[in-house]
Amino acid sequence: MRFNADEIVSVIQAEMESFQSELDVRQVGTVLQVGDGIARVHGLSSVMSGEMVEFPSGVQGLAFNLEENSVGIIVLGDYLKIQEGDEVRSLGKLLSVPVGEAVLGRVLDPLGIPLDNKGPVATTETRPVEFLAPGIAGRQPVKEPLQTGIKAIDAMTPIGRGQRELIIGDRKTGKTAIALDTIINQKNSGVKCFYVAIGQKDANIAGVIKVLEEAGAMAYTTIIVAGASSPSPMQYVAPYAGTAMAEYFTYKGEHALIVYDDLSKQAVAYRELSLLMRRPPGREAYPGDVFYCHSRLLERSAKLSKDLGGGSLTSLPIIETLEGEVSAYIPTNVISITDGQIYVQPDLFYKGIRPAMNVGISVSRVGGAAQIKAMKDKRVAGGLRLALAAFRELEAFAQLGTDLDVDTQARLDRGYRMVELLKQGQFQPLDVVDQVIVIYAANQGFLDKVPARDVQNWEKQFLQFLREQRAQVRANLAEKKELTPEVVPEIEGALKAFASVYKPGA
Amino acid sequence: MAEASTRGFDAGREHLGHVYGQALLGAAEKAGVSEQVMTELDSLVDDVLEKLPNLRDLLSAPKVPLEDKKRILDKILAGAAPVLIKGLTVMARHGRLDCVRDVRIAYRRLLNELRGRVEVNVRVATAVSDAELAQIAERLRQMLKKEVVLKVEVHPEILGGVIVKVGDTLYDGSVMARLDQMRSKTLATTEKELRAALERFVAA
Repeated sequence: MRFNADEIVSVIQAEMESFQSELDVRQVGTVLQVGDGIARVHGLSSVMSGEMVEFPSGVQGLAFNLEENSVGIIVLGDYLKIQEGDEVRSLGKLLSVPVGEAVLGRVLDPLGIPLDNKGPVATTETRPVEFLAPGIAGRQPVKEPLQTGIKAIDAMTPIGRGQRELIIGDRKTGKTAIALDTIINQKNSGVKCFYVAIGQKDANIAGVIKVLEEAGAMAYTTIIVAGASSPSPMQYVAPYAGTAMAEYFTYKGEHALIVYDDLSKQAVAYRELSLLMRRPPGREAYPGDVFYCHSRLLERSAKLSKDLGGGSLTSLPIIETLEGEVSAYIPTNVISITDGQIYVQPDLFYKGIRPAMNVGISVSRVGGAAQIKAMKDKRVAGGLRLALAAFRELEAFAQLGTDLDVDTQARLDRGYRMVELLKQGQFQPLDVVDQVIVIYAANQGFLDKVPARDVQNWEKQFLQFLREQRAQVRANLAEKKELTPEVVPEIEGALKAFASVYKPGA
Repeated sequence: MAEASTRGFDAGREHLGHVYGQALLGAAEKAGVSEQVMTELDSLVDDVLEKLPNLRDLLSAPKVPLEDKKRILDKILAGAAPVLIKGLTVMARHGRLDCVRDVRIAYRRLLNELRGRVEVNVRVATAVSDAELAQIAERLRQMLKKEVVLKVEVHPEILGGVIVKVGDTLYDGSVMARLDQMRSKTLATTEKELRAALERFVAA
């Protein structure tokens, strides 16, 4: 084909010729006061709550507070360019963000503006940032698993597609690592991932991007950034914007996963805005509707009904606690909204149990229905939670130094090995088939002869052995997804065969 | 509104202005001098209080005795409508002389409402003749089906056309707005075409 320089000129000329100007009719107001990311505007008498407005500098805002004599606007952009007396125009539309396949692999701000120097987002479609969650008729129960690739989670607090599973714990206990592992494990599963970073240090976000890029996960992941230096309106809007981008796939019948890292910072940003807007403070100075702020966000995660295409949006909200205080306001709110929580604890983390998940108080209220049959089996993860709880009790008792009978000692030994087995390195997600086989091995006593400190080495060697020499076992289990009478002897055979080639302490 | 914004907005003052404005209008209507009071109030604010900030401060200062304030008011307002003098004296007694400007705004709004008039702010690029103004006013009267009071401002940066503001609604028919519209539309279309061309090129 031939290119023509006139092509562009002709496009512009045609555009000019066909241009018809319409009389621009808008509501206007005057800025009375501006600062701290908000503006107070006189006029705009028929503006609606949540409507977009535009300042002369091109900065946009959102009508947030409608009062008798003025309107409170949250400024989405540089509020320093706004001056007192500026004319504010209402735009008659709601805040929306660009959506579509083009956002995947990108790093965007909450308005959909690229931050990664990879050019504009090539899409024409947008979705409103605030969108009503599907109703009762639009949903169906969670039934498909979303594999995190983390043994402890997939076995004991399984997550289903459409579930909201909270990750809660103190700072530096590996909350983000769990979420990132889950994103990395979605490779080849068709699940589109969204990571919303709220109020985090930009250096940490850069680290996350690097990890995802190295793991090849950026191909199906979008990162929405409202860092610690972003004004509070951006931090407040970020999770809704990310959800809008993820919903595009959900309503197309596909599956999406969104991580909100973290919602406590979003609540703080919302508190800041509300206090500046002079909304009455409540408990811990949060406004009265901070519960609604989170519940309307997390209700948007759902498994849609067949009529709506059967898509799903799974969310992993993260909450940071202070000194393990889960009974603070925001943690209790979000615990009550979500379908379960993964509780990570610093003492476990420093003991080397990573992921530092406290099995006793971590739960998944709906994920069990989504677990594959093989994992749910009594011989695998079925009784694991209770067994581990019993082990912890026994362990505490054994520390008293009393003489133990043989049976108790054996149960203790098996517990130590199980705890070792559930440890897992960062960014090393494990396929669910492998998880089932190794947990089966530990439960059935195949690890009893392996020293506890060598369990991870055993696992590594065994999985390699399985892949290289008994690939058929994995393939059969992956196909049947159940511990059928045909599959079990195959697994046991592989375990026995491996016992002879296992090199301890290698 | 522009007046309110140059001094910062105060919901309390606006409310007070409304209360006193309504009372003043009621009294002036009874005496049949509302239009005269409007003119005098305008002149008091624009010609006296705006030009003599010291006098304004003196009148609003709580430390100045009431008698002194009354004497000053009588001197300034010699020959004004008795209703206005009485009204201002009442305000002085209540220590509300700092709200005179808010009273003026509220009074004008209420009077316009009462007479079925509407104040329209018209922005043009160059000064327009009275005939043209009359034409604009006539068109607006037909559109709004109300008597209009025009307030004309000249803003050369709008290049041409006219911007009409009725209440909080702005009808922007300026050349500047049209150019802006054209610019964003053309940019969007050109960007789309360029991208399509690039895709064709990559595909070919």
